[in-house]
Amino acid sequence: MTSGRLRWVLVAVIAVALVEWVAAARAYTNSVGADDWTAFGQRVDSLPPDEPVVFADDWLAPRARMASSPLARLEAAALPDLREPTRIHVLGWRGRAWSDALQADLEDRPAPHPESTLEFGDLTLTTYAWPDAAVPTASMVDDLMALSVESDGGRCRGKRTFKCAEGRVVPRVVEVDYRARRCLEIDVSDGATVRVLYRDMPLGTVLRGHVGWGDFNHRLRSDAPANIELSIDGHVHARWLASDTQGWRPLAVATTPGTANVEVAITPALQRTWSRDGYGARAPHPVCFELRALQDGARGEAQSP
Amino acid sequence: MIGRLRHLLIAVLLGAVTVAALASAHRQVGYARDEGIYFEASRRYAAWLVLLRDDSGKANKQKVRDRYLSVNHEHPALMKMLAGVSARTLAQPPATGTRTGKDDTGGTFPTMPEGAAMRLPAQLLAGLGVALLYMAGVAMGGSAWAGLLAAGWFILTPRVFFHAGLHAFDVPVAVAMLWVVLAYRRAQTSVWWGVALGPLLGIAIAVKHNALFVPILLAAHWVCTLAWARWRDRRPTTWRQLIPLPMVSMATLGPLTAFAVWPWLWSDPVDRLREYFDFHRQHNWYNMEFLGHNYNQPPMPMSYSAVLTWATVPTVLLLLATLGLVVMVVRDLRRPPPSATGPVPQNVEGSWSRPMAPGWARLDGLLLLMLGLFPLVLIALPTTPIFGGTKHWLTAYPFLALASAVAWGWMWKHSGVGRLRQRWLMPVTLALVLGPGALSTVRGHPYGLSQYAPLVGGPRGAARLGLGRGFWGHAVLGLMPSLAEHKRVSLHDLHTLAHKQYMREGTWPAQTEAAGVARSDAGLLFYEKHMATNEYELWERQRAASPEELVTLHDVPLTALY
Repeated sequence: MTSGRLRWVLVAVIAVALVEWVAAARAYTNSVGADDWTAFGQRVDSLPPDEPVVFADDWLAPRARMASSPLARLEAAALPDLREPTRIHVLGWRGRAWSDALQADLEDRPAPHPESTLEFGDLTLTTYAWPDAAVPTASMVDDLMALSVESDGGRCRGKRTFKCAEGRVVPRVVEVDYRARRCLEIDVSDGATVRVLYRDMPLGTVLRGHVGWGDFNHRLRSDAPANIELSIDGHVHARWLASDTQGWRPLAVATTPGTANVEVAITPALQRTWSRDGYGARAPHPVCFELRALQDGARGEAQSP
Repeated sequence: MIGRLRHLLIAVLLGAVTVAALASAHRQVGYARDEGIYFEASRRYAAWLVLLRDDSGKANKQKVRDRYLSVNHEHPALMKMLAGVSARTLAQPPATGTRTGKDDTGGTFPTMPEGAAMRLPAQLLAGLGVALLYMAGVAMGGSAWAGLLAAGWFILTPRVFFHAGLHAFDVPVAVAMLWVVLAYRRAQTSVWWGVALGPLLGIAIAVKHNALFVPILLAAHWVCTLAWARWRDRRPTTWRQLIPLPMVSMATLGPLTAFAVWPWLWSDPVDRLREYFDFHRQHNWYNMEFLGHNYNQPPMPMSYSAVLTWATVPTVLLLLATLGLVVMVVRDLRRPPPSATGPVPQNVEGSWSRPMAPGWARLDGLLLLMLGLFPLVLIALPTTPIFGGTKHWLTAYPFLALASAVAWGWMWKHSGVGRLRQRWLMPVTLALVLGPGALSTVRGHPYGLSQYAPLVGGPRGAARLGLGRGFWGHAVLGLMPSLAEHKRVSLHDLHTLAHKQYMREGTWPAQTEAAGVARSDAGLLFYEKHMATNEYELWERQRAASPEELVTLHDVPLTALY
């Protein structure tokens, strides 16, 4: 190589070093100040309660929840999906306004339209809106007092936590696919069926829910599936076989508006996990589900002129 | 001679500065999970050494020896024994109520916390590594600046600086592998180094198992060197050179030395060695977050080690290392055979004790290429257990640093820049080249394990890319004042023995107990993707999803107190 070319190699090395200096200056400072968080918190505190704030950059979430108490509510921190709101606010860092995780939470709902963007220093709060949205009419996770639970061993006792002969049914916040989800966790013995009944459930046009298995370590140590059967007024409307490889698996059944007795029967095949000591010696592998009655498009209709 | 002495003095100075910097800076680094276990083991190993001194007959009964040395016997004992001796010499007495026995009264010259004393041997080895890199860099790169580049490349990389200060084995074994390789180069032409190579390898193996791969790599390199001399350069070779003194020394004195400094193996050596190899061959799978996915079972993506290296080492340093490796290999390949420059001297032969004859190609390019890439390739293999983070291939970095020194020397020698200009241009360029790493280290301290390179965007860029934020439950010191306001705290990934160490040193608030989540009124949470469950348990416990306090690195949460 000639000395002329080598000089260019030297220049290239120096150029890369200079670029890294500039990048280092940007990367190694705190970019979000306390004032930015305060301003963000004030903005969030002024939002209507049915307009959730979600995160394009997940690492912002803990600090954001410290800045605004409405965000610290479990209901706000562990949304089932993004089907209900007419408007959402997405917090990102330096202009990031969407993420793959948010896209997944849309499920088959069309993408929302960006409405406005607010900057708080390097924080970006992007507001999205849909022309219509689903109005929740009932939720098994929220309306615990309306539920009665039975298992093969008979009626399960309790009002918020249900104790059955084979185990228990508990409202929880669990990790499914590394995301927080509120659901009813069913922790019963192998093969036992649990039936969760919501009498006179106010129905809209659709029953939507999800099923999943909490805790990465438990999922790692068992892949056993569960049968889910949904009945309305005693008639079976849908059956699903779900497993933890499906993540937060959506369920949906079209309904006629009105009230009805809705029952979800869940039969987990195996409820324990495998370890070096064999099956059942360690943690459980409990299935978790949530179900809501929704009136699809109701908000859009209500807002139409 | 004067030049060599001057370089030696600079090397000693660099080593001393490194040790001082590590010893002082790491007072702010919390105790990592593994350290907790090593602290406990070190106390016991040191107690056994004391017993050996006072009553060697009793100490050498298998039952007694095993009682002291069984803890953490899956790793060799050397670093833990050194740490234990260091603590017996320099540690301050344990805090009231935390003594574990009558003789648990601190060191003879109590000048520092026990953890700091136990970290000192590893820090001294890091200083030695920096000094060796400087000397080797000068030799290979042709100037003090090249030596400084090699030394700085290594220690100013944030992950290296972080690990170098811990009571752990990753940087010590990287340094040990460096000294073995440097000794191997000398052993090719020196009887004394040939003999010394085995014990030096034995000590390296006694630091950590990574060194077990070195003799295999060196043997492969030696076979290549022989083959190159015989078939490419038409040099006379003999059968005695095939298994020369350095190889024999590594094969005999190496294992003997390792065995001698690892008393756990003195009983049932075959079974215990088998257990040792099985443990590391069938290593537990750790969880690693890589590009947004949590990996727990092999195979990891083949690109894992390469991407993580780029994400944690400044690109300009990797560029120089690559350039150096290419230059060296091309130089080896283009080296004219002796027949091209004149008649091949037939009477110049290597011998068994000095296997490399004068004028032979050393194939240094191949040597650095093998040592610099092997650890990354090994981790990238689909069958390799998921060991964890970048610390598992830090052993490559000294050799990449030396390759950079070669690139440096080559660039300046052939660039046509005049000597006068070089006088000021060299130090300026060196500062430019080492600056991003140094800045990254300083600005990442004391959370160097969570630091990322500038072009990745630092911790924020890494969090956005879905790269792990840490895995050792050490980022907790800043939360101590808040912990004092709680009675029972769940520790999450803070190891019980690391917690014990904080208690022994009076760092942990005396009135704050460790408790399970269900009994606690506060909880620690170290952010790792596969541990999200633990955060949600804390949410449920306090019926809210908001932490009380966060430890962050450039806005990115590392630890939360709920």
